[in-house]
Formats: sequence, C-alpha cells, structure tokens
Amino acid sequence: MSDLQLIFLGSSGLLVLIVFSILFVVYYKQKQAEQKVAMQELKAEMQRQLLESSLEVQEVERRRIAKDLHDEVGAMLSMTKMSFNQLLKKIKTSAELTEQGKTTKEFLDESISQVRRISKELVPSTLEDFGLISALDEFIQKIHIASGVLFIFNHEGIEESQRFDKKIELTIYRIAQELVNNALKHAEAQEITLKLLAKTNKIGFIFTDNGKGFDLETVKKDPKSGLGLRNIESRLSVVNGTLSIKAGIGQGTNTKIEIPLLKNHS
Amino acid sequence: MNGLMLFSTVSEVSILIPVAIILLKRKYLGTELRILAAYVVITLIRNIFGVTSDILYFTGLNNYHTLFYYNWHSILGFYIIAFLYFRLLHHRNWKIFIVVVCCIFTFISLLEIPSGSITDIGTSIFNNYTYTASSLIVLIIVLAYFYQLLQDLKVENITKFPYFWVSVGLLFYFGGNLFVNLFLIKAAKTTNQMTWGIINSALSILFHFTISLAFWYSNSLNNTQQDE
Repeated sequence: MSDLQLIFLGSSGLLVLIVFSILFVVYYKQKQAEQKVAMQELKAEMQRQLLESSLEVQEVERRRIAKDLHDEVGAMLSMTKMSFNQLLKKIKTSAELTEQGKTTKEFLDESISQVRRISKELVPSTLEDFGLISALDEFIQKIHIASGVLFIFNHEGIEESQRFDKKIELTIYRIAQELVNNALKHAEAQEITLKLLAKTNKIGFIFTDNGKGFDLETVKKDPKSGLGLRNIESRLSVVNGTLSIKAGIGQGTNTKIEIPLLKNHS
Repeated sequence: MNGLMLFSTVSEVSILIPVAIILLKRKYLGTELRILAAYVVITLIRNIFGVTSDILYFTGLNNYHTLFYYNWHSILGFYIIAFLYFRLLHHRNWKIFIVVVCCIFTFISLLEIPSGSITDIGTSIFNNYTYTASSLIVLIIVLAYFYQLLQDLKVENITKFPYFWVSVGLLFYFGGNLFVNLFLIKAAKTTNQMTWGIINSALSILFHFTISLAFWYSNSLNNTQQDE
C-alpha cells in the first residue's frame, strides 16, 4: 500500500467523521424543532385546560349564586310579601296608608320577579333541561319583550330536541348572550338574526345584527372594548372552535363560529 | 521532504491560534474551558520543543528528538480530557466509566516504562500503547457526550456551543489518529513515519481550529441553558 493510498484512506476516514458531525448537527436541530413543537402543543393544551377549569368554576359559582338568590333571597321576599299582605289587611283604616301599602306591595312583586329573572339568567336551566334551541328561543323571547328588538332565529339540520355536548351547548349559549348584549348595548341594533347549522362533524352559529358596527382592528387593540371578543375566543378555544367576524362602521356585524362535534355527541 | 517537515511545523505553530483566543476570551472561561486551556498549555509546551527542534534542523544545527515530549503529552493530555468529560457527563455510570478507564490507562502507561519511551528524554520511539488506548477511550467518551447532548436537547444553538466544537475536534483528532494507528501503520509495513506525520499534522491543525472555535464561543455559554 503506497503512501498516497494511505493518505487517501486517512482522508476518507476523516470525511466519515466530518459527515458524522454534520449529520449530528442536522439531527440535533431536527429533534430540537420537534421538541419545540411538542412543548408548544403541551403549553397550548395546558392553557386550554386551565381555561376550561376556569369556565367550569365560573359556572359552578353562577349556579351557587342563582341557588342562593332563588332559595334564600327569593324565599325571604315571598315571606315578606305574605307578611305584608296580612299587615295590609289590618291597616285599611287610613286611605293614605292603604295607597302606600299598595305601592310597597308592587315594589315587592317587582323585587321577586327580578330575583327570579337574575337567578334564571345566571343558570340557563332551559338549556340543561331542553337543549340549545329551546334555551336560545326563550332567551331571545325575553330580550324581545324587554327591548322590542326584532329577532329572527332559525336552525338547519337540527331538531328541536336534539342535544349536543354540554360544553358545546353552553359555549354557544354564552356566546349568543355576549353577542346579543353587545348588539343592544353598543351597536343599538334593531334587528338580530341568529342561525344554527349542524353537520355531521361540526356545528355552526351565525349571528348578524343591523347595528352601528365597529372597526374590528381598533376593538382588538383596545383592552377594554376587546374584552368581550377575547371572552368569546377563550370560550371557543376550550371546544376547539373557530371565530370569524365581519364588521365595519355603519355596516352592522356578522359573526360566524364553528365548533367541531365530538363523535359520541353528534 | 523539507516541505513535509514545514507542514508539520505549521501544525505545531497552529496551537498559537487557540492560545491567542484563550487570552482574548479569558474572562469568559468557565471551569471546563479552563481545563481545556490546560490541555492547550501542555500542547503549547510540547510544540515549543517540537518547533525549536525543527528550527535547529532547518538551520543545519544538531536537532534533538522530541518524541519524549509527544509521549508524555499523550498521557497527560488524556487525563486532562478525561477530567473534562468527567465534569461534562451527567450520568453516574459514565463518571464511573471514566474513573475506571483512567485507572486502566495508568496501568497501560506503566507498561511503557521498560521501553524507555517515557523515561529517556532522548528516546526515538513512540509509546506502544498509550496513543491507541487514549484515542479509543476518548472516542467512546466523546460519543457518550454526543448522546447526552441529543438526550438533553438543552442547547439552544448547537453550532455556537463550545463543548460541541471541543467534542468535534476530539472526534476528528483521536478518531483520525486511531484510524492511523490501528489500520494504516499496521496494515502497511512500508509506511514511513513521515506519512503518519502528515496525517497527524493535518488532524492537529483541524483540532486546533475546532478548539479555537470552542474558546471563541465561550461567551455564548452564558446564554445557553447548559451552563455547567
């Protein structure tokens, strides 16, 4: 074996080591990138779970407050009303007192109905008992009576009694509440359209109002006015839903959400 | 012949590159890089003797044999590198492995005494075992460190990580030397020491370059998670 051949062999050996080093760097970077993606996914999942827990806690707290309002404050008000009725029968001597008593009784009636309303709004019992369509129907009926705003609600591919995953139903209901609230409070809308569409693997909800509209970018940048929007996004992230909003000043608002359906609940 | 010797001298002088970078980056050097700097210092001492001998040869004066220094360098250099990786490797088993192989290496080094390669300052023979043994052990340790890097994945930018370059340099230098010792010299009875010298010089230049990179990137250790 000549010296030249030996040098050639030596160089080849060195080349193998160089290739090893390059491959090591490439493989290292690839593994590092995979780890980074896995970490990001884990972080996102943890955030989602945290958000889900937070929403669950919120619902439990709402339920507790609603129960306390209904069972404690509501009962006390009813007792007060009954007691006051007895008192009213005994003070018929003075016309002035009778008139004052009637007014107080009206206040009591109003307080009882307000407590019932708040208690019912806190926990959508219709949603739990009869499902999304009934709950939304009841909700818009109440708002229509209170505000006079015209509501158009239709649903495609969903039967009246059809049920979905509890989380999905609650998410859509709460988002509908938030959107209706925004349309009345900020957009001063006179007509609101709600549409529910269900397919085999997803459920869609389209909300349209004819209000003042808003500039989406400005709202997103403003931490105060963008809070409602972020609430909607947070709720959707828990159920892997997506949100798209079309809005412009003087053009009303069109909000579309889509939530994938779990197989066992579709 | 003179050209080949000049190449060998250049490889010995190339140790000045890491020396210069050590001086430049001395305030960033942590414990491990100081250990590596100790390796550079003993290499510098060895090469000073080597270059002096080369100059004497070129000027026509009586030069002297430098193998004594090379032989001792291979022994001391091994202990320094073993100590460096004893600190860099986290796993207890690898630490035990390094301690055990250091004991074995001490025994192998003692076997060199009868030949006079480490006792006679004017020796003209290479150590019989320490070059091959140190190359083999260092290769195993370096590969273990590469494996650890892959397992941990803590280093943000591997190409700016000093110990990566140290390991790459050691892999080239000791891998190349092992290849030379085990296959080339043994396989070719006709091969003279000059061929070995060329390959060793090329590997030395490459090694000095990679450890220079290690010292150059020493300040990046403050930014990486594996600052140990």
